[in-house]
Formats: sequence, structure tokens, C-alpha cells
Amino acid sequence: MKNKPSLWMRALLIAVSLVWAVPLLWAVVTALKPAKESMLLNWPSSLTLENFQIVFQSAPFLQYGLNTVLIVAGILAIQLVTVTLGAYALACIDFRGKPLAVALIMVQIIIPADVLILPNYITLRQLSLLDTLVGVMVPFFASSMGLLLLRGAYKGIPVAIADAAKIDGANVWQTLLHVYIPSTRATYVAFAICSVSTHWNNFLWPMIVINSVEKRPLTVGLSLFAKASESGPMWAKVTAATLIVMLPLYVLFCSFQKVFVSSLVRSGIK
Amino acid sequence: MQALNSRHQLKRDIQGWAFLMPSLVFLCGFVLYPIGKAIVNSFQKVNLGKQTFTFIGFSNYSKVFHDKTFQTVLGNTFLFALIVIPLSMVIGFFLASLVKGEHRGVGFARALIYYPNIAPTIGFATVWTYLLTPTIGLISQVSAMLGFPAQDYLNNPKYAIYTIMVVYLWREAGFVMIFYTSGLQNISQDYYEAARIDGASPWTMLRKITLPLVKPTTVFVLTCTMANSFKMVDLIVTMTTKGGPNNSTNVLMYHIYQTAFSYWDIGQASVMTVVMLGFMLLVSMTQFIGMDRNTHYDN
Amino acid sequence: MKKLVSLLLLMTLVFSLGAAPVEAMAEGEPVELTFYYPVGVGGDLALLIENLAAEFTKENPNIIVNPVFCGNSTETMTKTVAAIQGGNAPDFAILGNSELYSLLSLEAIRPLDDLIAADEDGEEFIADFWPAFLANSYYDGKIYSIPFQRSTIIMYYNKDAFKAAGLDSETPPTTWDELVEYAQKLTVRDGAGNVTQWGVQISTNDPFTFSPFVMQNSENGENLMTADGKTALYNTQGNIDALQFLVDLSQKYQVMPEGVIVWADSTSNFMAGTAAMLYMSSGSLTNVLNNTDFEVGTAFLPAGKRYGSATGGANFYIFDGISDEKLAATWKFIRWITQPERAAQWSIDTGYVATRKSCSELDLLKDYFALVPQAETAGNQLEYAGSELMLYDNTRCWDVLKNAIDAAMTLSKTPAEALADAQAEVDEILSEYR
Repeated sequence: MKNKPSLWMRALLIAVSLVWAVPLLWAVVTALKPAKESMLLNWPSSLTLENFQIVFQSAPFLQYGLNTVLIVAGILAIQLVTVTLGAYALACIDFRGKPLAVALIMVQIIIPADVLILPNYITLRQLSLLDTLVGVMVPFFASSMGLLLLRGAYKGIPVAIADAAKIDGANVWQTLLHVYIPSTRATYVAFAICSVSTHWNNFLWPMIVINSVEKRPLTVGLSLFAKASESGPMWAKVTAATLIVMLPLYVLFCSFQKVFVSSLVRSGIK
Repeated sequence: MQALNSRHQLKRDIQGWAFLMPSLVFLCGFVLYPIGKAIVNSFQKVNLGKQTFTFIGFSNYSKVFHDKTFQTVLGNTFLFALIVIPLSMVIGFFLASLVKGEHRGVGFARALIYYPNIAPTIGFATVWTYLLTPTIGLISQVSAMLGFPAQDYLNNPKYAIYTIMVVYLWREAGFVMIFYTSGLQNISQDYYEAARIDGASPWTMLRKITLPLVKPTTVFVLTCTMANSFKMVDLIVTMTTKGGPNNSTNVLMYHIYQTAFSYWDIGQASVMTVVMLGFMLLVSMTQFIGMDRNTHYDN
Repeated sequence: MKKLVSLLLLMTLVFSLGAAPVEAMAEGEPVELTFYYPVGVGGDLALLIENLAAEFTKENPNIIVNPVFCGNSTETMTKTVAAIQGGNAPDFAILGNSELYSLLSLEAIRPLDDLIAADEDGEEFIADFWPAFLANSYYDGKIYSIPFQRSTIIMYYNKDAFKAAGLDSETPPTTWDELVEYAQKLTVRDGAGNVTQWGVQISTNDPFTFSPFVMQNSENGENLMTADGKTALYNTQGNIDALQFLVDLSQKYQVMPEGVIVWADSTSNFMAGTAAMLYMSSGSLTNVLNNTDFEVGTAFLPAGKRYGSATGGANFYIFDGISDEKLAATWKFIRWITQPERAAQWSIDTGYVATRKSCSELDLLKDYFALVPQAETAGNQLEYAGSELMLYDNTRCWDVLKNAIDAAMTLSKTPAEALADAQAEVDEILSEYR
């Protein structure tokens, strides 16, 4: 990392980023344009926040945002516990029936949650969790992706370090807390980013589970515009709503991806 | 010694399963149990309203396998996976090697490439639909400027599935990039220094140092991209009309959706879920066993 | 926002004038009703429904109505079926008018005849709805749904483009021949031969827009299916000719883009001024008028052998097994929200068509039409309109027809082949129901 990247590498990076950014840039420009110009491929005659205003008025976005944060944080908090324990078992404990356990875990990676909506609805009803935020979260408390990701990271830690901790008299919990978790921080951040962005944007399942207006997540506000097929496309409002939904998460990502990198550096594995 | 060993083994068994228990409880409740239900339903005629389940043997299976749409759908699914899995990995790896450093602007670039994974799909799929609008969309106008004939890339059966692939890669490559970035950063620079002193070419360094050392990442990413490519349904829902034109973008997961949530034919949808599950389990288990063998050396 | 406030004020005024004197309230627990609804036209509609529900409770304090927004019509149906199979169905719902057979085969809904019979003016109430909107409410002689947010396909045209092409902007085409003639004049190409303005765009990827052509090309308004929903009539000479006409518009006359055209693209093109005429749901009117700079006209769909169009949208359904108390309250709400004044106001606020004949006698609507003459077309065209495709296993049959139209438009089959294949496929699906 000490050597500077060559000029053409930098040029390439800029070019690639720009190509990737086209839809985002287009969304930003359209959202700031007067709605009448949204069908035209021109530079806006004036910039306006009117589209954002209209979108904000049509749904309680702050309330929705709060619910989304609660859902996402709740899922992540429980996942961190289940995933840490499970990954430790898969990576560090030599127990019988491991292939069976792995097969059971793989099923979640393979099958999208939306396919299981109908049976899970009945389960939630039996648990009296319909129309609750916990009901939205509970099917995702276990994460196979997290298990596999962390398992890989744990396996990357030299056994000698863990053994040294054991000789020092550390029990399993202390080893986890002082050796495994700190040295795989980067993996945790990567997993957290994936988990948060998945559940931040989930739409169908919360829609099915929640009835009360005050418990709805952010994506519901977006669907008011993005799914209104009979009115014809409303580009200006759809892009404004998309940016509103995306912005908090994007800010979070931009700040955390620095942590993600620097934690790698600090953990001394560069 | 034997007795001690088996007592230790028993202790490890209990410990292992106990640590997995929290995960397994939720997996069993919300993934395995409904999948089990789907397997049972695949042999039944289900009426959701009356909650009646009539056993009809393999009749759902024979209906599904004789359905022409299902054959088209399988073809599309494999075409999609075969192109998208390697491409997303190669592009993601390439992007990661561009953004693995820490110099100025890299964080910004990472954010610009990863955002499709953060943005709500319904929003951005709509944006893409606009960019692809014939005559007035950006893509149509740019290709007209370059002298290509106007094409409705999304609604021409010849191009539609490839257009979906492009949008999919736009999103998936960033996902892959994130994992490879961390994988690449884990490789000590010392290896490269040593290789450079030995006069190794960049190509040799890639083959002999980088690729072997990111193998655990590769295996993980392969599992994810594979699962993602088969699970992909949101772009079909938002960007095409029902997997059209004429089923040219209809993939297995969308067909399951269609059968379950539009036709309310739970029996046939379950058959397809079972097919999907069986196939994916087979592939990923082989892969997982391979991963265990390959990553053994670091134990 | 100002517009919204004034509309709300107006609405409140109308309510307070039209409301009957508040009845003496029965003591005891208020009845609580839950209903699911979709948003098809975006934005304020969810707020409007919530306000209406609150307004109703204000007038009827012993009935609390909880509207639950459920996404678009497909998602609303998904949520409804999830609730039904979980034994947790809402009391009533606004669902697609063509979902009737799906809901019947789930044995989830109840007929409304007893409720209508119990009302003094029940018969007149039903008779006041436009027949085209009731076309998909009946099964086996019983009525199962009450029209609510309904739309129909009309033609939108760009008056400025008409003038530029030397056409009279007040006389849009009225026949297929005129449609071709006008469209040819309205198709503009640049020096390189690229089209910069299409004559007409019709979203050909949807049986909803094919239905009008079928009815226009029939002797007596025959549709794509028999009235009992058990026989599909895809493969008729009239339909083959109608599909051929659509193919010809793009291939022979080259006044419409080649291949399959989707709703969003055709509307975007019209709004950007790159399509001079558009076939589109009346529900888009507000969006189109608000976001275009040119003068927009609306017209009947041009006639083949006769005029014809299809109706879409959603109706009220009441679920089976709710208590008598809730049933009475639900019926009261449905009667309340479909009163002519309210139906008219709903139409003005949302762009949906006023569902009742007596709406057109109201000053409220007359004044509105004086202000926005484009809004009058949809209602006037209703006497020529028929049901959209509605068969048992409807979505499957719908997809079969959609694929056939796709195949014909992309030239992978001739219209005759496509419809013959589709007929064979749909007969196989429907054989189970005969």
C-alpha cells in the first residue's frame, strides 16, 4: 500500500466510478428539477426542493424512518449474538454432525425470505406477533451469511493465538471477547453493512406483517410513488422519495467504510 | 485414553450444538419449517382460503415438468447464472484491486460503486427503466448519438435478459468488491516485495500470490453470487412486465413468485421451490466441502 | 398543498351539507372495522382515504374504521390472501375488480344481495352505478362487489402537435382509418430518418389495452370471454384482425415504435412530447395535466366497427364470516363513501371515474368539467365500455394472452398463430373449471 497507484489506474478508477454513478446523478438531478421537466433530457431551468416537499407531505417519513432504524438495529443486535456464537462453533469446535449443521444453514442462503411469506405469516399469528416490529424482525434473527462470513474470518486467526489465550486461563467467552471479536472487526463491519442495507430496503414482508400506519417502515413511503402504475410514471417524485429513503443509510455507509478500512489497518493484518 | 477422548468429544458435541442453538432455533422456525411445509405441499392441492390440503401424488410435478413456460424459465435461469456469476466476480475483483488502497478519493469511489446495494431496488430499478425508455431515455439518446439504431433494450426479446444482466451486474459487482477489498487488504505486502525482487511479472504475482491467498474470499463470494443470481427477482418484478416480453426474462424465482402470488397455485409453486432447493443444495454442498478442504491449511 | 387544503375544506363542506342528522347513538362498545386498500394513482390517495375514514367516524362515533395501505393492487391481494389463510382476514377490502373468481375460489367473500334487499333504496342504489363498472361484480346471479376506484382507457392527444401537423386540434380521430391517417401526419422524422415524434403509442404488452380493440372490432361488443368466466374467446377472426391492426401500426404504417410497448414508456414519451397520441388509463389524467407544458386533449378511443373500451380498477369486497354488527357497519360505510356527492368528489381528487350515473347531475362535477373538460371523456365513454379480461384462474389466463400479444408484436408469431396457440393453452387451463 506504500506505493502510489499509477496515473492510469487513477484515471480508470474515476471513469469507472462515474459510469457507476450515472443513475445516482440522474436521480439527483431529476429530483431537483421542476416536475414538468422530468421527462426531458435537459439541464434543469431552475432547481427546486418542491418534489421533496410533496413526498414528505404524503407520508410521515420521520416516523417511518424511526421504525426502519428500530427494525434494522433490532435485527442486527440479535444477529451479532447468534452469528458470533454459531460461527465460533463452526470454526473452532470440532463437533459431530457439523456437515448436517452446515446443510441446515445453507438453506437460508439459498431461499429468499419472500418465498416463505405465507407459512411465516401463520407462525407469526400463532406467536401473536402480527402488527409488531418484533414480528418484522424475528425471521431474520439468524443469518447464514453472517455465520459463513465470520466462520471464514475466525478460521483465519492463527490457532496459536487462541491457544495462548487458553493457556493464560481464558475461558471460551474471554477468548471470544478478547481475541476473536477484536481481530475480526472488519468482517463484522462488512456483515453489518450487508445486513443493514438488506433490511433497510425490505418492503414486502413489513407490508404484510404491519397494519398500523405508525409502525410502517420507510420503503412504504417510497411505494406510494414508485408503484402507482395507473397514474403513469412520476419520475420527479420517485427519485425524490428514493433519495429520501437512501440518504441516511448512505451517510452511514460513507462514514463506516472508513472505519472498515482503518480497523483492518489497526488490527495489524495489512 | 479412549474413554477420555470420547468424553472430550461428547463435551465438544454438546458445546458445538449449544453455540449453534440460537441460530438454529430461528432458522428452524422461519426457514426450515416452511421449507418442510413446501415439500409436503408439493404433493398436495392446496386451497388457501378453505385451508384444505388434498394429497395428489406427483401430479403437481408432472404438470410443472410438462409446462413449456417452465422449460423456458429454466433456460433463462441458467443463462443468467452462467453469465452473471463469473462476470460479477471478475468485475468485483477488478474493482476491488482499484479501490483496495487508502489514497485520497478511494473512499469516495467505493461509495460510488457500492451505493446500488444500499439504495432501495424499487427506486433504482425505476430510474433504470427511465434511462432505458425508448426515444427519450438517456441510453437511447446516447446510442443514437453514437449512430446505433434506436432500440428498446428492455422490451426486445433479443436483448431484454442481457439488459437485466447489466443492471444486475451494476449492483452485484459492488457487493463482490466489498469482500474482495477486505480480502486483498489482508494480503501482506511482503509477499509482493519478495516477488518483485525475484523479478516476477504482475501476471505471475496475480496467479501465484493474490489468487491463492484470496481463495477463502473467493469461495465465500462464489457461494453468495451463486445464491444471489438464482434468487434475483426484484429486477424482474420492477423492470419487466411479468418476465416479458413473451417470458424472455422470466427466471425460476420469478416464476415461483408468479405461481404462488398471482396464480395462488401453492402446489406447483412448491414443486418449483423444491427443484430450486435441491439444485442449490447440491451445488453449494459440493462447494462447501471443497472450501473446507481448501482452507484446511490455515488451521 | 394549498390546493389540497382547499379540496379538503370543500370536501368537509360537502359532507356537512349532505350528512343526515346525526342519529341517536347506541350505547356500548364502538365497532372497529379494518379494511385493506391499494394505491394505484400515487401520492395523496392514502391521505384521502384516511381522511374519509376519520370523517366517517366523526359522523358515526360508534364505528371506527381503520384503513390499511397495502402497496399496489398485487401486493394488496398478496397481503389479503396471507391474512385469509392465517384466519385473520380484514372485514372488507378494496381489491382489483378482476380478482372476483380468485376470491370466490378461496371462499373468502360473501354476496351482498341480502344487504341490498334490506335497504329501502337498495335496488336504486345498485342501478345507479354505471353498468360497465358492475360488469365484473356478478357471479351466478349474485352480486359480490361495489365499484369504487374505477378507471377506463381513453385517448390522450397533444393539441400542439395536432396544430403543428395542420390537423384540427378539436377533432381527434374517431375511427381506426382516421387513427392511421392522423398518426401518419403526426409522425415526424429527422434528417437521418430517426423518429422524433411518434404518431401514436399504445402499450401493447397488456391485455387491458387489447380488450378495447377486441370490443371495437366486434359486431355487438363481444368480449374476450363468456359472461360465466369459464370460456376464453381469444382465437376469433375479429381478434386476429384487431391484433393484426396493432402490428400494422408499427410494422406497416410505422407510426408506432416496433415491438412491445409498456405503460410507463408510452406515457413518458407522450409527456415528453415524443408521442402525439396515447392510449392510457383515465387515472393518469391528473399526472399528465400537471406535468406537461403543451395543451392536452382527451377523446374516445377511435372506433372500429363500434366504439369500445375496457374498465379497470378496484371494488369493495366484504369478507365472509364477519359478525352481523360489523357487517352492518361495513355496509353503512360503503353506502356512505359511495354517495353521489362523495363519489364525485373522490373522482375530482383522484382522477378515477365517478362511479354513479347521478354524479353527472351534480353541480360539483359540472363545475369541475367546466374547469377541466378533459376529465369528462372517461365518463361519457362508459356506455361503450366493457369488462377487462376476467376468467377463472384469471392471472394465468391473462399471462397467456399477454405472451401471445408479445409474440405477435415482436414478430415471432403471426397474430393468427399467436392467438391459436394461446387459445389451446387457455382451454387447457380452464378445462378444470367446466
